[in-house]
Amino acid sequence: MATRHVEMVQDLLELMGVGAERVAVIYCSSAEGRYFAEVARKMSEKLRAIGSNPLKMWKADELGVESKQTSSDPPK
Amino acid sequence: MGSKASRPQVTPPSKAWGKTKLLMGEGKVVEWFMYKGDVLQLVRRLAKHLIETGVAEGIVSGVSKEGKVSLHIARSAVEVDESPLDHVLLHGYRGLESTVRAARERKKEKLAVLVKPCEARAIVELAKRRQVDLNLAFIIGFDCPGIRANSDAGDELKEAMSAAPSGELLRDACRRCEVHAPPHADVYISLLASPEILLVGAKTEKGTRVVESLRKDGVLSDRPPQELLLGREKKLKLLDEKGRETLREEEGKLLSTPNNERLSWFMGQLNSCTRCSACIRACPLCFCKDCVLIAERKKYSPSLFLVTRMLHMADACVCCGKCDEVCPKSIPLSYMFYHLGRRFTSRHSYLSGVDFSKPPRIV
Ligand code: SF4
Ligand code: SF4
Ligand code: SF4
Repeated sequence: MATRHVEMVQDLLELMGVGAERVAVIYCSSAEGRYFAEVARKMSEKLRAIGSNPLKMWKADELGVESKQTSSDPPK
Repeated sequence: MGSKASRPQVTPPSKAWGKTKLLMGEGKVVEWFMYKGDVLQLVRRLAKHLIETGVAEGIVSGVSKEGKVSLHIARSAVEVDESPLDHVLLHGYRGLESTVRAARERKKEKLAVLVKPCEARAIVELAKRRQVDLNLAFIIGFDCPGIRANSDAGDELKEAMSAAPSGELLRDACRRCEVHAPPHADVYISLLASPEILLVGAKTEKGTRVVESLRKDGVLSDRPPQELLLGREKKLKLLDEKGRETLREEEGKLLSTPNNERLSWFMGQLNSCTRCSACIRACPLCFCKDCVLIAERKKYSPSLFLVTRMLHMADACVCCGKCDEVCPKSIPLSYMFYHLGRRFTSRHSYLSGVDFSKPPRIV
């Protein structure tokens, strides 16, 4: 079931324009340490290639900075 | 993502699913009869019949006071006659909630409830999650061509349910509605074919019994001519197609917007949320008694508040637009929820609220 949740997160990120490729699920057993390291390395390489998280600049709302509401018409 | 083969197996539907399926009268088509007269009279007659025969203890209705309609369960003939049932069907309770919520919160009572197709879909989704007991609830479903935005109580039920207002006048959610006939109901009422000759039908056992006895009482007349039924189907097909068209258009527009613009639009919307939780209370599908968002609203940033709600239930969203109506910030909620939900569910060949045999995608 967790995969479904991750799928949904990916869908949301894609719609929002962040990109689904920032989240991934990998099946890996505890005995596959080397495989895990490999996958983690590849993922971080990929992320570095895509660039930094565009959501970062939106952290403002957590700091209590008020942000303006955009027009409620969806982007055309 | 892992390969398909390594994904956890979908748990097979439990035995109780089978039961629900039987209750649906699987494969049976709706048997239609005609009613010539005023739709509100028919609904009142039907409600009184249900109460008299004990099929229902009452009907989910409302009382209007100073222009506001609030929830009231009509339990006697007198109360039924005084109830603004037309208003309740069209608008639910302004600023409050849909009739489905009352049926959900009183799922142990035998209540009749009037629903539009979107709300019938909500009931199907809730029944799958055991939040509504279809053996107890009596569902009266209407074909719906779409509800006017900014319409008020003055709207005649007959007008509203027989022809769609032109695109511009429709509520946002109705413009992208893909299901204009209730996927499940005990008694179906349709004004689509003709506002003068109503079609009244039943599919479930319960509903058939009621329709049969109304027919014996001479309330309903015989089988409608084929062309009426075909006319209804043709209209429904057009309406559904139009909704899907709008969905496709909207999605195309969204996806062709550059990523950064899309993101700033989304974040602007999400951040303007005041976390008032009106949308949660209005949504027929947000059924958790202890909603984590309501209990711990302070802990969520505005954007996370909505994102969390989306991830919890967007797959079940039936695009009823209740959330749009109550949001004090006019955030286009049904737009976000339904597009996200459809993106997810269409990959699983799932459509929320139309099929009892398909278990929820996210539980
Ligand atoms: S979304 Fe609108 S058109 Fe569709 S069933 Fe609901 S009220 Fe009717
Ligand atoms: S999220 Fe909004 S549109 Fe979707 S089911 Fe809930 S109230 Fe209706
Ligand atoms: S109704 Fe609007 S402002 Fe209130 S919690 Fe929902 S999205 Fe936020």
